[in-house]
Amino acid sequence: MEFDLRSLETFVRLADCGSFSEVARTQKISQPAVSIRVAKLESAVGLRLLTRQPEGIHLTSDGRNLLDQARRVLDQHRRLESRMERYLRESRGVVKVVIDASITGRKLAELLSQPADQAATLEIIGPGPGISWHDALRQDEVDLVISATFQQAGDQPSLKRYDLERQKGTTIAWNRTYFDFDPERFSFPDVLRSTILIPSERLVPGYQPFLERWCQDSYATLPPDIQVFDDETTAHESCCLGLGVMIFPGDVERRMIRDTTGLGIVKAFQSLLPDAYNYSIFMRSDERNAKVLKTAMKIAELYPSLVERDCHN
Amino acid sequence: MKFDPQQLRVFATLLGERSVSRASLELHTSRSNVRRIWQVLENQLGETLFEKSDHSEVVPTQAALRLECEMSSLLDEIRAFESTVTRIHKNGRVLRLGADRNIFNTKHFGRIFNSLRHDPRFRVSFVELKPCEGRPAIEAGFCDLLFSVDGIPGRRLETRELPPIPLDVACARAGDATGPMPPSSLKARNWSLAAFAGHSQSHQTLRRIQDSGAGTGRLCSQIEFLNWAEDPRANGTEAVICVRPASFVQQSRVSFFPFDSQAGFPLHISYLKQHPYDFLETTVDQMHRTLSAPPDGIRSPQS
Repeated sequence: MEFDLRSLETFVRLADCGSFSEVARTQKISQPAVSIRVAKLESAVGLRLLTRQPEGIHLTSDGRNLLDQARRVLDQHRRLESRMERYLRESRGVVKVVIDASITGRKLAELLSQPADQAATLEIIGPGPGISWHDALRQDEVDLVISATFQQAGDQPSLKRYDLERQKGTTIAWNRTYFDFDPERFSFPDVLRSTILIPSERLVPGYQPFLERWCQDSYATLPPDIQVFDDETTAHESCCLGLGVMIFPGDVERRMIRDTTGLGIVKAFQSLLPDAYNYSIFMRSDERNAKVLKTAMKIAELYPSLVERDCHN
Repeated sequence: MKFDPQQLRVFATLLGERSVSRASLELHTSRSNVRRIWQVLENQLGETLFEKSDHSEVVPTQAALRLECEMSSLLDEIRAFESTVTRIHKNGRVLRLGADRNIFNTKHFGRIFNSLRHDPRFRVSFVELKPCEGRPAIEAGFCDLLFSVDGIPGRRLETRELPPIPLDVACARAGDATGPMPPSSLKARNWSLAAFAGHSQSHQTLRRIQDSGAGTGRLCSQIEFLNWAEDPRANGTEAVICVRPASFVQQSRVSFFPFDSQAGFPLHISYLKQHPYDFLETTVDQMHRTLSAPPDGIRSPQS
């Protein structure tokens, strides 16, 4: 039985989305190539796996029997790939780090890219559009993650977390020309009458679901529009342009707003949310690789200087 | 990095045998193929997997040992996948026979079915199709083998002819005959041919029967014939040349006698040239043999 994994993957995708043209688009191959791959798998296993109808495909009972098994094969294959990649990184002294798209994160990435400062050869990437960074970390695709999280959003038994910084409460910032909130007599429900600008799940995991639930539970309403941002710089710019009211966890003034841009700022819910914003290093609990541990320590050492430098600016 | 099952199998064998030539013998493949796959794996990984030593032996590197250890759970899942496939094969793969209702309802088809029913390689099921649905059904994969009188044209299809479906004469009165009826015995009767297939095929068969000295008859539809068989006094028809149905919904009130003539409706069988089952061709051969043998199982004196 000689089947190849690409055909197996095509079969699983076809079963999931039910259309040849869609699979052709996502796998970036032609539609006939999709049919050929499935036909190849069918003749390799000697079974009819699906029937092709004008309105879409249907799995046969044999196809249904094999689908879960096929998924497990592909899953183990993906894991083998990432474990071998981890091995190669280990043997070459490379550490793969995800650094979030916060302003501090950008600075940290810049600093770490200077060869003199490296404890190991670093490969730095941003949080990608694919799987979440905790899955990437657990499945050996990356070795370290530097990211902000809301409360305990990133905590998992298989991951270890070192906090570099903890900030409480939530900051609300707005362009004074467009919004006439009075910081002295600030009322949160007023804010919910305009568009709000908040961090995405890739920038501060856990914040968006919390905020939406909170608005529903406490004020029984959601803002007319919620714009989510993958990076802090764009969120800050949008706030300055008056596109909406920025609601970010922690002390935004300290993190993001360097010069006085004339924004109205209120810090709220300080006692309700004592650990709203954590900036932390995440790694696997069972990490033994000395280069990874050294890099984490290096980052912890560098971090205070990074923040201090900000304060001087 | 892509590790295909086939590549991993070559890798595992090479690791076990520690020699390209022994691995190639074990895998029933060429040495150059083993070397090529070894090369592909090394290129993907960007790491050497085996060092060459004396006596054409190869020695695994650290990376190779790591790959061996890491790939075990993938190999387990692949084996599980393969054993699911093997189990399905063992239980018998589903063989769907598609045909028009009239074809199902013949002894001819009954003989085909009974020759397949005890074959452990598959479990037979039926798909009833209208004549126009045949080709789409077979191309969509609803049925594996399609029976038809007219044959299904198509570049992707293989169509073969099976022995023709023999004809009977249904007589309104039981005492009309005692054994096989030759065409000449119909000359003086008011008879019809029950159309079993498309228009041209039925006309052709009618002409052949008339040419063999049966006088003049007309065509009637299969439905008209079935209705007549249940109530033969309804019109003036005395006999209908037909494919004898294996069963009737109601009791038929006619007597059947074999039609002693070369005329009969052809039977075609079609399947996809690229069908996942590799036994379709031999199965069709087997049907051919079954139908060529005389119905009572006794060999004909010629054979």
